[in-house]
Amino acid sequence: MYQDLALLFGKVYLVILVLNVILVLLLYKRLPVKVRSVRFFLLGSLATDLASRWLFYQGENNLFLLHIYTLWELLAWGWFFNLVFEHPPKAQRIFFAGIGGLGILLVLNSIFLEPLTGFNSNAKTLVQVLLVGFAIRYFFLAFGKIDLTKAAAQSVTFINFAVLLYYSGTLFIFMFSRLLREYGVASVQQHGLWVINALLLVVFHLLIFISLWIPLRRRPKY
Amino acid sequence: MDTTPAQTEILTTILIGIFLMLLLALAFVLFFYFSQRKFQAQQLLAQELEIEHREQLLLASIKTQEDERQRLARELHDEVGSKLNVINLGLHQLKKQGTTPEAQQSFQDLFGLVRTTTETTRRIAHDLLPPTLEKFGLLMALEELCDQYRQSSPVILEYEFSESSIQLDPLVVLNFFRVVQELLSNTYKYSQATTVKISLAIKPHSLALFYQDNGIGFDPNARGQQKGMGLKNIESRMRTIQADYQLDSTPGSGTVFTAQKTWS
Repeated sequence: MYQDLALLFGKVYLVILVLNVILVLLLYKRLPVKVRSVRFFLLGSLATDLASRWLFYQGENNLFLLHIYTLWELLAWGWFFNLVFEHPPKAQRIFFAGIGGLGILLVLNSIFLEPLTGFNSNAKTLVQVLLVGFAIRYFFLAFGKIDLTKAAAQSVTFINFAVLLYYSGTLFIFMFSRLLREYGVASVQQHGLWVINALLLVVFHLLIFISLWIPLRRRPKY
Repeated sequence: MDTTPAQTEILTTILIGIFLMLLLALAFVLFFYFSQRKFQAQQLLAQELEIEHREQLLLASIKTQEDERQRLARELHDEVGSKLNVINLGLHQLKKQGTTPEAQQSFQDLFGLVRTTTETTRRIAHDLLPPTLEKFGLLMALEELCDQYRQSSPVILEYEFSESSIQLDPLVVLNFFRVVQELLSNTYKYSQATTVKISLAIKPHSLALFYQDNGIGFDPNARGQQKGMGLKNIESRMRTIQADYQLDSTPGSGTVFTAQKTWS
């Protein structure tokens, strides 16, 4: 039952993801700069999802994609948050150096600590904690400075809400994913957790969809 | 397959973790949203109060200006004007006693000086508060004002005033007069207009003004361009008497100002 639910949510998530990718690519110019920068993440997500489905139906191990996806997630969201935080040049260099350094750590983790054939709990946890931290930082920086009646501000806030909700909600799933295997937790129970992940993914991409829709719905007045 | 205590412990930890993290994330975002809304509402209120305060200051300054104008006009007319008349009479008395040609010439010079001073005083008093406005009402005062502008400039000034026997509120009369005065002054100073049209209709329950010039116009909403004091004064005066007004102007298309004051 859990597997069916996970598959169902997985399909719903894929539909919304495809819709988001179409929106962001077709109506790219009508989106605010910060909002349109989520296209890197969305394209990476779609490519990874399609590849993992194909490999799954081929009966191949697709967990190495999670390693690549984690790195892509870090870089794509790093780009988005760099735009959102509006760093001055010096801070921008430090920010990119930090993201780059962390990226190297992820690669080293995949080479030496968590092999490509298994879950990358360490890397995923690190990236998720960082993204949750970025989203919280956004809310602190934005307080009192943004006008929530404006479409661009609303849109960026929705994206941050999505990031905060999804990455904090699934933090414990990915943190313990390797441990679940090592402790031999039954796949039925594991599927239960992946149902939660898939459900949160649906919510996540729905929020991204709303954030893309807001600036398209309300065209700026000149 | 039965689960071992360790497996149950891991699953429980994960589920509690998911629940707590989701709860915290939701609480955080909701807290942000409501605090932000409250903060924005407070900011808006503060801005509104600031605007209201500025408005009141402007209204108070307009009122003080009007009071002072009236006082000065009366002082000039009653005090200075009447004393100049006394001086004139005294000089006439003295002139009869002076017999030498030099004395007669001096008297002539003094008469000229007194006459010029009297005229200047009258003009200043008139500019400060046209007596026509108090004595004969808005339409006559506007006609007089328009005639003055007609005589001093080649601009074609057309006006049409329709009268009604209704007694108007002096405050409304004064503010409409000052607004037309300000509009004419702006047109003649800045607009490079060749034609000005003014119409004023006094009806039993309303007073309507239409003003149009074919000058270079301006953008009333242009960013970075501060509204001139004249324009602010016009708006404040209209708000003082709670009249509806509208200013339409675009660069190159002249200016149209309409105002209407209604009463029951």
